[in-house]
Amino acid sequence: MPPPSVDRRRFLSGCTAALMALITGSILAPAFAFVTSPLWRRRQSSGVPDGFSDAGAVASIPIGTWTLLPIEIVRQDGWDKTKQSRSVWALAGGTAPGDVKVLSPICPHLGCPIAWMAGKLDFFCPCHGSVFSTDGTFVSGPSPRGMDRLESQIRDGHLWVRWQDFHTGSNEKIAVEV
Amino acid sequence: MSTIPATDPKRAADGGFFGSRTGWGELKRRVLLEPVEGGSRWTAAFGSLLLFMFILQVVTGILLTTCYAPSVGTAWQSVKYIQEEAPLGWFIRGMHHWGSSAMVILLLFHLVQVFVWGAYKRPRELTWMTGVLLLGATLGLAFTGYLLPWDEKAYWASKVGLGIVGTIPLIGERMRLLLQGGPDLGNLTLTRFFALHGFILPGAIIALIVVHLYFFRLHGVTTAWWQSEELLRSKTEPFWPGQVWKDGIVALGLLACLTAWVATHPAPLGNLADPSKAYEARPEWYFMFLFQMLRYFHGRWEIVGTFVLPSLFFGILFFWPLLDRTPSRDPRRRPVAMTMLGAATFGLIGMTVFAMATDVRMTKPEVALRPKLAASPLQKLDVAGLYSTNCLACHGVDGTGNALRVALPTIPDFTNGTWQKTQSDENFITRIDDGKVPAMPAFKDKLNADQIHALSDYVRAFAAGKTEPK
Repeated sequence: MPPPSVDRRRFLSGCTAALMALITGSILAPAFAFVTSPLWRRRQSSGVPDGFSDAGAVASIPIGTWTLLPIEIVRQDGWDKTKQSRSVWALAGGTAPGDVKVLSPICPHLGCPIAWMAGKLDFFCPCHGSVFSTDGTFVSGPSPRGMDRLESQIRDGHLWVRWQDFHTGSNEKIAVEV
Repeated sequence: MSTIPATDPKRAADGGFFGSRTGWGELKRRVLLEPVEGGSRWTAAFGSLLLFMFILQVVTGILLTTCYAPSVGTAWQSVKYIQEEAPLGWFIRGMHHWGSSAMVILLLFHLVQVFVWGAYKRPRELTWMTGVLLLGATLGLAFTGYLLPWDEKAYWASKVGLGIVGTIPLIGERMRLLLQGGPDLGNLTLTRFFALHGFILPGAIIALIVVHLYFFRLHGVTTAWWQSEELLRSKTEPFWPGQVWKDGIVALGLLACLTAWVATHPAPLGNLADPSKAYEARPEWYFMFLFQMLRYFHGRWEIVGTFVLPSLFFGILFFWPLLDRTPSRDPRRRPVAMTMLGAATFGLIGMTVFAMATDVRMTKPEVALRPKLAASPLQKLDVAGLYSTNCLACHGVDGTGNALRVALPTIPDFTNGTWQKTQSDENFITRIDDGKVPAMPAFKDKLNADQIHALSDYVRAFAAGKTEPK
């Protein structure tokens, strides 16, 4: 038998390398798709039809001062459909029964919970020191925008709030898709 | 016909039954008996100590997984069980928790020593680079491990950490989504962080350690700059047992210190994470310099603090052997390198100390920055009701006092922020207590101190929300 030619050896070497690449690829491709699924997976709706949560009777909200109201939201959290607690800053104006303003307590900078400083009459983020005025507009600090207002409605004397998360660190208020 | 022997006759003679079948003699010669120029020394123990600490983290980590369940409903509960009920659980978790801090400190010592020794110079550039990757992977372990107990601290610090990831230009939001596993922190964040913390990053570290040690053995120990070549060659001794003995003594000392620390400082576990409760998020102490830096970059400059400076720092650190090509390893002949090291060390330690010293939460957690009177006691006291009964007639439902201003020109406008800022809290309380000429009645006999205090806060708050939020 004649010795294998250089061409034949190079061809076999190329084929073997291609075989190894094929095996590696056929494992890596689905692995990559699985791990990156949060980027391309179709979203599921957040549970409650209109996404509004009951924040309690409007009459129980003190007039004229910002109050942190707990709410419950329903979210699909992986394999679990769960009730999760959140809270919102609410202010009843007192001039009309429906005059309630609702702000998200999540700092638009990096997502810390913002505190209302009754003594100083401003909102303050205790993480990186952003300050917001009494109506939530940006005053000073690292936050790129003012506090995010949340949609609210009055139904049968109760305040209903639509909880939304917004992208942090962005100049614009962009809702995170749920 | 000749028979082919089953094994190489030379090897068969080496080490008897076991040695001839495992090649142990050869392995021992290569791994343990390698000659070390200049002999064993205490200053060469940092690298071995790090390996020891990593093994300790792996062992305690594996033990913790036998009791830990990564999901929103079980993570905190299982860590609490480890901490409070599982026999020796507090000890294993304490070693793992404080061991991570010890590892970060040792890494920095190792890094500084290698830098001062000039051990990154030709031909050891790749040893240094794999070392910097190991530093990155270790900080990744620290970040992912922080979330797993799912207490308040873990939740908010990780939320901020993921927020920082989100600020990376172009790919930031996608990276955040990938790490988070969904639109918000939850079950899938925990399982992903657990996979990263328990499998992916330790796997990467093991692979990097193998490469790092291979390069280290290939080029040998970097000898100190003050030792002459002749002296070094005259003192050559094998790695085993001289160096291993010294490494072992130091490792035992570290283990004793760590155990004593763990016995007196239980690993912290805060309250179960509750996204509806206010919390002042703080990272672990070794990320405090970054935390402090984030306060200085505002608005669109934010990415300077979150991304540009940290990646510049790691970029320079990683490529340092290629940037510093001077041949001398003597620190006295490397003024630029030593100045940079000094500045970086001073800067990092200074920022960390400054951040911790000026942080209200670090110094006085009990007076953390929360509203003076929380919402619930305000509501319990029915301050709105108190106001309606006692104050509304004159001061008005909106607190402006406009209805009576014609008759009472001195009546204050509570919604006036400028006026509010001229008034102290004591001022308010005194006036409600004692009244004020001409028309304000005294209330101290009618209301109790809590009610008056609450009313003062209530009046204070009228200036809030004067303008429409945008």
